[in-house]
Amino acid sequence: MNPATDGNETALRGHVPGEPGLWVLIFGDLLVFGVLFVTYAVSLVGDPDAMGLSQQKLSRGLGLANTILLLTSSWFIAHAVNAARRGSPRARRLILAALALGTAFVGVKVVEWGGHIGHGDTLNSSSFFTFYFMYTGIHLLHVLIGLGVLTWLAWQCDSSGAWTGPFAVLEGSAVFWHLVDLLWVMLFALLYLLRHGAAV
Amino acid sequence: MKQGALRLGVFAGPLMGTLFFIAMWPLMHIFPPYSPMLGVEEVAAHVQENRTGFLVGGILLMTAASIVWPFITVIVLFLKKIEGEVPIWTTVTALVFTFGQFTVFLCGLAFTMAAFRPDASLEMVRTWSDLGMFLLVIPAIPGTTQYLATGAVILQDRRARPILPRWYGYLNIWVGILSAPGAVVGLFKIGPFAWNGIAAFWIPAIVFGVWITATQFTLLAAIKRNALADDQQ
Repeated sequence: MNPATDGNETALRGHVPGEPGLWVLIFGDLLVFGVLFVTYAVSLVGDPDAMGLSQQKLSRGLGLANTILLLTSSWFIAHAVNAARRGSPRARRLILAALALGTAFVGVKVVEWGGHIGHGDTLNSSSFFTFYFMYTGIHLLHVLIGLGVLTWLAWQCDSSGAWTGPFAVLEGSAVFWHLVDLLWVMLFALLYLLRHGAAV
Repeated sequence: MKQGALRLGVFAGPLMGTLFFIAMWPLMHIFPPYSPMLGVEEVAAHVQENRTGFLVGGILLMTAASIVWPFITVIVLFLKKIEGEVPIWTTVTALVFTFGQFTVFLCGLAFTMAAFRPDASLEMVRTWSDLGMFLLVIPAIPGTTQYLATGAVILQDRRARPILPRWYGYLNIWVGILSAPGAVVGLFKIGPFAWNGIAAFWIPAIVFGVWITATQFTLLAAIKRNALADDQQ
């Protein structure tokens, strides 16, 4: 075996995206969201018809729009990581694109929440809407923290737009942004797509 | 370096946690918390049955809030070491910590008020007891600021060997995010976001347990290697 290739393989196998400590946050968050999803499922089993009726009021279109926005945003940040790896000056533009799409996600969320509140469906008006507002709210807190991180990342680029900070910081931030994305896809499936009870 | 004093300071944390737990569990029987759906008579009866427990538990909560300071000081000393000359987020952590402990003190006081006068009206007993429950759970709001600020300090450490490990910085951010749902307990009397619910009580309580345990071990390890005297740039 070629010793150079062998060395490369070891390096690839041993690489933890971002840094090892970050995964405390990633797995910790996934664990707790897992508990939240199970809590929702248990509630559904308890009263599927009432939950299903409220659920019908959600706009799948807006949910889908937000899914596309976040997935595209994630795509841009993945390309920003690639650009930084090559030392390309496109890094900042890609980060800003991810930031803009993430901000659009927040905008859609505000319109969506505003619509439901306007129709009298608020945080404690029904069991389903409690789950809906709280889970999407906890997710939104993740999005806002992520947007703060993306803004800070854009700041770390030099005047040409190339990434100047430590590579692991950019990669780790991208991993967090993918987590935000993954959690949203789960929420979209659970809250918007899987219909329950007599309303199906 | 005063390693003995620092180690002693760290133990104020678990001591505070223990007093807190003794007050809530065997004394007041509010671990797990009673349901916010309970009627006036039921809450008053609970306080009546555990009157001495509430009064002694109140003292323990106020004591917990008063003896935790060496623990907080050790954390702040390490954060200041990391942040250096302009310790913005260290100061934020210290201020919000102080504010948060004040709510623990008030929590003990509210439960004392609930149990103090045997001839108090049932409504009055429930009102004070409700305030105690809110003061137990709602301080998750300042908690979020404090944990995120602490995380921000630890993650900005650029030393080759960080003063506090980076995973502990990420752990603080995790705890901060998951404490936030405690903010909404005023809106619900039933379900996962009520003050006895899984998302507003159990998750914040468990992550707080993880945090205080991890903090002890992290601080003791940093004290052992004399990280406060570390002269890396």
